[in-house]
Amino acid sequence: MNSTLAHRPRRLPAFIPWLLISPSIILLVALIAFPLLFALKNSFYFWNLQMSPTPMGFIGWGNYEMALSGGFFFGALLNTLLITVVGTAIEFTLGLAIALLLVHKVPGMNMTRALLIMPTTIAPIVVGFLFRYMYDPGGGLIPWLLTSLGIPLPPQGILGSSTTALWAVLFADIWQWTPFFAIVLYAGLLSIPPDIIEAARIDKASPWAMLMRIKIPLIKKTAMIVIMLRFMQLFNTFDLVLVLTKGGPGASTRTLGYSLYQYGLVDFNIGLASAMTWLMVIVVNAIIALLVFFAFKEFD
Amino acid sequence: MATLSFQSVGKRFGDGTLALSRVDLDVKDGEFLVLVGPSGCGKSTLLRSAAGLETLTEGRIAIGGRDVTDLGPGDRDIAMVFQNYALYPHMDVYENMAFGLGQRKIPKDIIRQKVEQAARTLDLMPYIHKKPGTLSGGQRQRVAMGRAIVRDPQCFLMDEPLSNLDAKLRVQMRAELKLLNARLGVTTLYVTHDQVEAMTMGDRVAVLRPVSDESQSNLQQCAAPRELYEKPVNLFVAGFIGSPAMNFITVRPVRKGKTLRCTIAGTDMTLPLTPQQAAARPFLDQWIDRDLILGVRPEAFLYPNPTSGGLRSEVLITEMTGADAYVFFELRGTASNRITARIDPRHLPERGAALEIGVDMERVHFFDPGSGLALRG
Repeated sequence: MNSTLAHRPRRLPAFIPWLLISPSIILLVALIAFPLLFALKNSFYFWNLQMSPTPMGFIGWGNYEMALSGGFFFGALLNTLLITVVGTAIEFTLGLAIALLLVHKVPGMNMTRALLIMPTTIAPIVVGFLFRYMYDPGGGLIPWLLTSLGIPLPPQGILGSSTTALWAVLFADIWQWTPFFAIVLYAGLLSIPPDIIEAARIDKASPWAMLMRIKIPLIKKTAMIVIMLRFMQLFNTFDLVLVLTKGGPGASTRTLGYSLYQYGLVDFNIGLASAMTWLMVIVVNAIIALLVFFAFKEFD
Repeated sequence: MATLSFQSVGKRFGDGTLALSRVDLDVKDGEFLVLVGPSGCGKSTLLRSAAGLETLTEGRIAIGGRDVTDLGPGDRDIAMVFQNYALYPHMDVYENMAFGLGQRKIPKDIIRQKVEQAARTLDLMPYIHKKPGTLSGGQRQRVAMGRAIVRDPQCFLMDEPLSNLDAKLRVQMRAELKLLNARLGVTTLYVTHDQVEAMTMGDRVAVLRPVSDESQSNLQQCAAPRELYEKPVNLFVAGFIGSPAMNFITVRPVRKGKTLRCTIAGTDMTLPLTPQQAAARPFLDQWIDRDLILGVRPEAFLYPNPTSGGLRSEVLITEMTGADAYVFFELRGTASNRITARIDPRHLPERGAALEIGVDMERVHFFDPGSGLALRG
């Protein structure tokens, strides 16, 4: 009789697993590790690409001093944090509210769900153009609406004033990404077993307790994942700024992402852009580490 | 503690399905009443409407004399144990039990006292700060019970609470639940599809069946387990209660001189009744030469056969369970009429052997083939 045990495959040679993961390692090294290290080296050099194809001289911490002292970095960091924190918070809150409405079996909900996903499918650059027209002081929909409601507008236009421009960028992002939160949180709410909700009703949970102590804790994992995802995306806000304000007026809407583009690819100051890249790497990693720590500490 | 009463309760779902119709049922103060029936019989819907999780389309529900038909689940002073326990997965055992009390604005120290008392009763103290996900099925079941107990409700509603446990644990929890009910004396309405659970746990058992229109009632019979078994009101109850199920045979009573006998339709087999047995069933006189349905429980067969009549067939298969043995055979001349008889294992016949088996006519049931109702003297 043929025993299947006799045909057990031999152990693979030790190098096979390494061989199999080598393509991903090579890609990671080529696309992430190498550029990062290349930028690290360049951050200590003065290098303007318009003047020379190679770094032009070692200047130590010079680029970092420039980035940190001239307000280049902190101004952009502040704008970025504002967009990221306020944007994520508003999108989450509105998204949750919409998701809670969607759970109710009201006529027309299927249609609403289908329509809701649409803003998310538009390229951010297109959203930027759409909103540029809608914010246009000479006939845009939004200034017209606000004026009709009696809300005073800055004379330079919404995008032209340093007090409103950043909020205008944020609003476009909220318009595009709130439905994303709504859909994901809706899916999360649907996954709550109905008998748990019924048990809470029998326990006489008030609507507020039902939300804060039953529903939100039960969709916490899903919520944390979308929040982190959006947090990272918002931290890189670039396309909306490019199309709507080009970082202006002044530097009032410059985000970190836009600053890097401005210094590196418009001014060609590779040294300064590299230094800011590294500052950003440090800040982003610190924030992500904190988020991961707080979000997942109790799941492990 | 209180009574729970359903008054001509009806429920039709939004999609037109009729789940409940004309159910009148009173669960007495402190009673353990079991609702049993096949799937789709409305037992869960009835329980859920008592909880306020379903709204009625007809009738009223009262708890302790108070009409609760239009009250929400939180205002009915009931506690429910769900089939899947429905524990809050993000709260530990203590919080699970305390949540309902907290929502009712009960002072923290009283909550602590009540929860700890319930946890001790149910042997849950070692797990009091564990999350449900880390507990075994039996422990979760006890937490679900604890959540109900701490509330001191007017009545408990239980929706197949033991069905997710393995067989051994189920038998153990069955006894524990019964003890708990006896100690707390809380009116309990209990749903199960398992008739053994129903018979062993219920002070009374209500048998329900699916309904197709509003003229019928889901409720077939509500009686103590023994009465339900010995005096089923109709074919449905007779067939549903008892395992293996009651055998139904079409017979025709004939009178020959002074003796009354039942002939098996289409055969020459007869089951004679003694004069006393015939006298105890005076209604048979009206059924002479008319078809009737005879119900014979597996244990009402006599083997070896001491009577002059009896059934003749051959043994299809036998089953040996230890204390009992069962013989399965087909009744010649009656289409696909498979009969199960319980016999003494010492007399277990061979498979395929010729079988002659008597029927204890003292213990048989007669049913009207038209209405399905039991005929009694």
